[in-house]
Amino acid sequence: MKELTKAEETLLIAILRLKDNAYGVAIKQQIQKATGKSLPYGTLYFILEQLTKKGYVKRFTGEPKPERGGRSRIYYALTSEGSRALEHAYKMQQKIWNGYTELTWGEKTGK
Amino acid sequence: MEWIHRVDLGREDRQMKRTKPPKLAEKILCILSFSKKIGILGDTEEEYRMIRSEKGRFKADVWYVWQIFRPLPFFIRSNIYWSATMLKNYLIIALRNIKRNKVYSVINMLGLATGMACCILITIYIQFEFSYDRYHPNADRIYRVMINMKDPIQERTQFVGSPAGLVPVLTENFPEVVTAAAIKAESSLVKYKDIFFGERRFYYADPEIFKIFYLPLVKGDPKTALEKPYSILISQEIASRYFEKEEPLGKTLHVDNRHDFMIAGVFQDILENSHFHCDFLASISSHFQNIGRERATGWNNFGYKTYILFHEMADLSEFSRKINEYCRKFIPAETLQKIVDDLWIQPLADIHFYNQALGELETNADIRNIFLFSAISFCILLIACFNYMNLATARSAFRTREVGLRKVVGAQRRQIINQFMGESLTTALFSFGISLLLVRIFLPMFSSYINRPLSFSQLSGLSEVFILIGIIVIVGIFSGVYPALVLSSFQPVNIFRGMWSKRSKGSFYFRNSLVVLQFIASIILIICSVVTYQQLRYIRNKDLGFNRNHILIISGWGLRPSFESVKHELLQNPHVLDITHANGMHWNLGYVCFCQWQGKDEDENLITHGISVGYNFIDFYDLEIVEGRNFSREFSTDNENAYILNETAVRAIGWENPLGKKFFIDGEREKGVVVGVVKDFHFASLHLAIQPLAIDLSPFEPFNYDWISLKISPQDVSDTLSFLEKNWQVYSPDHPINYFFLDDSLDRLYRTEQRLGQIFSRFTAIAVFLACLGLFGLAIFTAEQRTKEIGIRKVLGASVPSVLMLLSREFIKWVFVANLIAWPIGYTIMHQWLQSFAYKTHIGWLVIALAAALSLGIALLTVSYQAVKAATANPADSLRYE
Repeated sequence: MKELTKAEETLLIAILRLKDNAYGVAIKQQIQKATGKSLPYGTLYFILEQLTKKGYVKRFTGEPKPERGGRSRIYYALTSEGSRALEHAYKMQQKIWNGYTELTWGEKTGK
Repeated sequence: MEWIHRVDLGREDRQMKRTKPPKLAEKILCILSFSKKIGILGDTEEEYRMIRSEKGRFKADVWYVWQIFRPLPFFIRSNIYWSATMLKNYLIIALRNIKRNKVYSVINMLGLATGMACCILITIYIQFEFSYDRYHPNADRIYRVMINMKDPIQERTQFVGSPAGLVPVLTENFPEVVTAAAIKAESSLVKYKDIFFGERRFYYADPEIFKIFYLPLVKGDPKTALEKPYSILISQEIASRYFEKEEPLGKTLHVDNRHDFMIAGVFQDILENSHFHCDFLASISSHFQNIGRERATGWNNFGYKTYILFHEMADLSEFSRKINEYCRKFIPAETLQKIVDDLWIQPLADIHFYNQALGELETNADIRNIFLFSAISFCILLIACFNYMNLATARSAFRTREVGLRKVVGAQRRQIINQFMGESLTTALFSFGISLLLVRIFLPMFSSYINRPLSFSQLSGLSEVFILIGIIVIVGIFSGVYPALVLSSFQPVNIFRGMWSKRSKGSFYFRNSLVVLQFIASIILIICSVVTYQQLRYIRNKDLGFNRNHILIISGWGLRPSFESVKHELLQNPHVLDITHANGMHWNLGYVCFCQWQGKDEDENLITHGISVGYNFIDFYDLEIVEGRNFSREFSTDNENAYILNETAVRAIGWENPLGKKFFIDGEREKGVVVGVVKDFHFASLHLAIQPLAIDLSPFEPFNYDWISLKISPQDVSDTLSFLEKNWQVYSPDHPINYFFLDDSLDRLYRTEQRLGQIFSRFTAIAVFLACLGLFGLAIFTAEQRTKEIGIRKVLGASVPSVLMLLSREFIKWVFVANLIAWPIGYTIMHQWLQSFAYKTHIGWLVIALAAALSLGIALLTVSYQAVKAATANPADSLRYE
């Protein structure tokens, strides 16, 4: 299974959280809230394209909206592949970071 | 416009309209977004509105623009990063492959280098040709006056010339003309003290010439130099030739033994890339004084070349119309009726490429030659690229494991294609280096061959560098596409199973057809070379209808003693066999004229060539009189009104019995009679059919461009020549002896064709060489492919010759096919070319047979080495399981 890059991971989780409302502006704001980074749309869509190519997300086109100058919103949703990838990433994370708190506890408290 | 990607909702809020993001920024974002337009533009706009309502317009605009630039570093990094890493790997692999397969790489690079070198040579040549006359500051506003003639003379209808009276009229009556100047070229004899030369580049010109052309003066003042009559300017080269260390200014030159000119200045030698070159520039007022005519009345003599400098906004078609109208008032009616059709103006830049007009100051280039050269070099480059494609795909068998492995570890097809394109670009780059070396070596040869000063430094201009880079890139990509596609299509599964399907049928045919194409091109070139050679030989050996061997032609200009006494004296020398005189033949076609004859209708017209000759002219050249008689001293009136016509003239007039009929040439005589008819002979180039000719008898005149013909014996030619030179110093002390051999000058008529023939043969050699390279590579491949098969056959008892046959059979078949296709094409091309000759050889079976035999022989030779090696291999080695 190909590993997710950090950016891809963040994006996938954001989409997960947003459920039905995962479109450009919302994803950007979510990431901003979660990581504090302000991701430009160019980058955002680039990564979304890569995710779509890998088959982790699906794309839906929504209704045209006037505040977008008449353009429609493009929504993204996780596919089953995507959820599996996330799951895999989470498990890997757990294994690697297992016992992290104990490891650093000693240093923090000086023991 | 598509870029907005909007759906018209039918009702856009006014508020929505007012709060649109900045337009220019939106456009840029649109372009940068490629395929993600809707998403990015929409989201950005949505957020823009949010920010605008919160933080106000200015901040929102700033944010929007910021959005454009922010992701750029990421894009660049993400695209290039991986590419850069892989690039290093690709480069290493490419170099390693080149080193490993030295033979094959060298073949490839040599082929590509040859093709590129040809292209570069042609680029240098074309660049030089197009730079002609460009160095004048107002080059695009300079035009030359030309004339269309009514009846074609020598099959050309255009004439470089204008009336003498044109120039003064132009500046006064035509506001679009800034200034105009006329040039008259007149070969003259120039003498300074005791140095004299017959100078052909002697021009008379208006003082305004300096305002039109860039003619810097090293000494003297351009404003006043050409104003006074009998003042003259000389070029630096002439200054050193006549004056060496002396100061030329103020000295006097004696011209034509009649007039004295004072040197008013020295001008810089005219650059090579100009359509005219002069050594002497005299004031045109001197010319008009010489001929004793008022310029303003000179409307019947069209021997002046007029150049005009126009204003920037001049309406040129309007000008043409006006000038034609104006001139018709002044040009005599008869000239308008018979000779001149209308005037037109030719841009300066076109002059050099246009060689179809009469009266050019110098022979220009032919734009067809440029096309021909370009086409040939393009063909060669194409052949070289095909070679590369062939060899690369043939060797693909050796890269299969590498490709398979790469695909397994995750390379996409795109990346593999990039890799192999990179390899071909690298090869192209190395070939380019070699080609520069080749160009360095061959440029001097090429340059002296086409008679132009070409130098390597011409490649340093910006547009040239672009062209060179373009050549490398195009060659690399074009040759690399096919092999890259083939190699990247391998399926790893098949490779590691040991059987790769190269889609053998399809790609095999493709590769074979490439070799066939190469051979077709080579065979066509062989046919062209052979036919050109045959035609040249035919011309050289064709019976011209007169005796041409061992005949010396000497200019009779300035001969002091009478012709008869000179003749008598020269005949004392046992090597001088016969003498006669004539005012010209093919090198100087006497004059072209209208004539009058008995029974001529009012509007019938005939243009004939006319030459005035001495008594024994007909006998000297062994011409045959078919009717009537030769000129003879028995008939005293022969001197005044006898004419001998050639058969074509009689046919053209339409007489049954020409003898005794009245005939004379307009303007020459008042009356005349036909006393004889001579059998047609080729007095002009074999390009043209024989034209009507009228020969009249005329006494020798030392200042009438009469030429003396001498028949000398073939032994001791140099002795005879020095004898003549010594004598001439006595006969004509004021004029240096000027002579040439008749058959040399005949050869010179066909110089263009000789050049062409040589070019064809050289390029044929190159093309054949390249085709052989390709075939060689293919032979290597096929032989290797079939080593197992051959081993088995040998084990089963096949003999070496039969194996050879087996291997060669394929190739023979293909060469045969190539021949079949090439023959009609070659035949058509050469047939076209031969049309420019009125007298030509036929393209016989010999040519075709020769081409076939040659191509077959070359093919077999190329293949044989590999075939023999394969056929004599030990089956034990080839069948061993490794």
